[in-house]
Amino acid sequence: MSRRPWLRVESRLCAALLVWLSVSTGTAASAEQSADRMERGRYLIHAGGCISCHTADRPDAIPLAGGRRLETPFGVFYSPNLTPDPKTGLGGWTDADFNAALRHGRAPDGSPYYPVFPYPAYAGMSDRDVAAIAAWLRSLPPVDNPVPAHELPWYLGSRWVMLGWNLLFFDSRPFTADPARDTDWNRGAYLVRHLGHCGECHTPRNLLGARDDSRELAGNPDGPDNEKIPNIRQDRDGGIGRWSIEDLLLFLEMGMLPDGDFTGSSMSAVIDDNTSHLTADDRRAIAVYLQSLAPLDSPYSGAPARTAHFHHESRAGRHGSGQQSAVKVCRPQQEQEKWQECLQRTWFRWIAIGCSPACMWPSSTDPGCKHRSMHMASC
Amino acid sequence: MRRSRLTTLLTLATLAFAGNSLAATTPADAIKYRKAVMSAMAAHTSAFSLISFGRVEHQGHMLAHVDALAVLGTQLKVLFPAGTGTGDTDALPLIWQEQARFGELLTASEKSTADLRAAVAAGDKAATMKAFKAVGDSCKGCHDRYRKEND
Ligand code: HEC
Ligand code: HEC
Ligand code: HEC
Repeated sequence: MSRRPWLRVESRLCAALLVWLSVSTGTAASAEQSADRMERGRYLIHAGGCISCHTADRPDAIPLAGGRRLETPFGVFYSPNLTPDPKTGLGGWTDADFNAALRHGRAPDGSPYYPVFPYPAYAGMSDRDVAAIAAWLRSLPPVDNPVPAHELPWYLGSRWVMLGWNLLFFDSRPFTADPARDTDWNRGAYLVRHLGHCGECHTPRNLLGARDDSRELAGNPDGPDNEKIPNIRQDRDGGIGRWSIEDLLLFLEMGMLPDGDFTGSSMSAVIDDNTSHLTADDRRAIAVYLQSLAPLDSPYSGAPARTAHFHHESRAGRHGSGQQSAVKVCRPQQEQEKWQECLQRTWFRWIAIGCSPACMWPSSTDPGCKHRSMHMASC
Repeated sequence: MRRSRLTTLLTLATLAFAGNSLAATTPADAIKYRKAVMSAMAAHTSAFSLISFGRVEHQGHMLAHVDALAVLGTQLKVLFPAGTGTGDTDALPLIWQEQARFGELLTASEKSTADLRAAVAAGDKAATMKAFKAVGDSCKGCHDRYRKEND
């Protein structure tokens, strides 16, 4: 028996009070923090352009419930359901699962994702941003929406074949700010290279389908959906070197080109789902970063910009090197060259990933070859 | 005198008729005209944005640009006659395959340009900005689905 029972009681009370206090202030603080984090997550879902890919292409589609059909040179993919539905979505996903998916391209079972999911760009995201995205996605109402299986050529049927690709090309280092540059530039670099994954479309790819970052944003003749994606470096011809910062800001806000035309194509989805939702400061940061990219005398600078109309030049004529016209007007000899190029490309892919030799034949129906035949058809 | 006047009239009428049938629009010219009208709209949106975002003064020109846009907005519907989906054009065949959906976009565009004109005429700055965004969305929305992009 204690000689001073009151002390014991009081100390117990004190302890309880302390615990209670710390718990309650703790929850208050974390509630505030989590509201903050939630808002941040919602914002980042826009900055990451997740909605355009993870929402089906139907007027009544529920945002982020998946099912969008994505055609690529490697087959047809269907985007997964990101709502927390236990059966058809991401029910039960932890922060660690999201981190593994977005920053390392790995599914919860350890298998690699196909890089059509732009995790090679998202890899540079900060842990804090990944956690905010995870928290916000978990807060969505679950939607029961089963998504069709990808339609892939047999040699890509197993995810594990992507391991080799990852080893060769995947860099999972997080973004580090460049101390020699100002905050706007660094914020812009983070948004453009990582969250906004602009390079997934605007940067040309090597023969194995990996981004050639030595020609960052210099235009991509072979973009998604067979589009030619323009050069958005500072080249005066073929790039956006003639655009003022105001031109860029208005474009990112509403899609208007300097000549008053409005963009269509996949860029309109980038504007509708991503850049138009950003703060004016973030749009400015993107513009500052883009304007820092020196012109690259690249042999192919993607599509000639729509702004061609502005200068009353033909779209082909605007392109400095004249290569564009070779693509547009396929005379027999050029057709031959194009065919060689197509073959070569398929050939390299074949070596790289064990592509079906069937791809070598023009009449092939192998989905891996579809792109090539479409390419030829567009000649 | 009277007679010659009548002849002149008749000749003129015949000429007009002949001229009319001569001018039976070729698809190539219809496409050319479509692009010219589209480019005219673009010229007005560009000019309008320079004024409305304060990059140039010329406030007095604002109404002229939105008047033109509103008129052109009502004319879009005649720009896509059958048979103008091939040739030197970026218009996609889908336009003539889903006329109902395409028609909705034409109507939306007509409405958005009319709304913009009304907002400018009323001198309502906030409404003007909102309406301009809607005009842009209607151009962008149609180009996204019905205009071929760089290929
Ligand atoms: C270019 C289209 C595209 C964009 C943009 C995109 N995704 Fe995806 N995402 C995909 C595809 C396709 C897959 C499936 C990959 C696979 O099956 O290997 C996927 C897979 C995922 C997965 C794994 C789901 C599962 O069921 O295993 C998560 C999580 C995910 N994406 C989250 C996001 C988030 C968050 C964003 C935005 C920051 C985003 N995605 C942006 C196309 C995209
Ligand atoms: C899904 C593919 C895709 C992504 C991702 C993408 N773009 Fe684009 N972008 C395009 C296409 C296609 C065009 C051509 C549009 C046109 O001709 O109207 C384009 C055009 C542009 C242009 C205008 C170029 C010109 O000369 O007309 C700019 C600027 C631009 N994009 C910036 C960006 C930025 C910044 C990002 C990242 C936030 C980005 N894009 C992400 C596909 C993409
Ligand atoms: C209902 C559909 C639709 C709407 C609305 C629309 N456009 Fe177009 N636009 C098109 C199509 C289709 C083409 C391709 C025409 C062609 O090549 O024959 C085009 C072409 C253009 C061109 C390129 C012309 C050329 O010389 O090749 C410009 C510029 C343009 N549009 C501007 C605009 C602007 C600005 C608006 C809004 C104020 C707008 N358009 C609204 C369908 C539309």
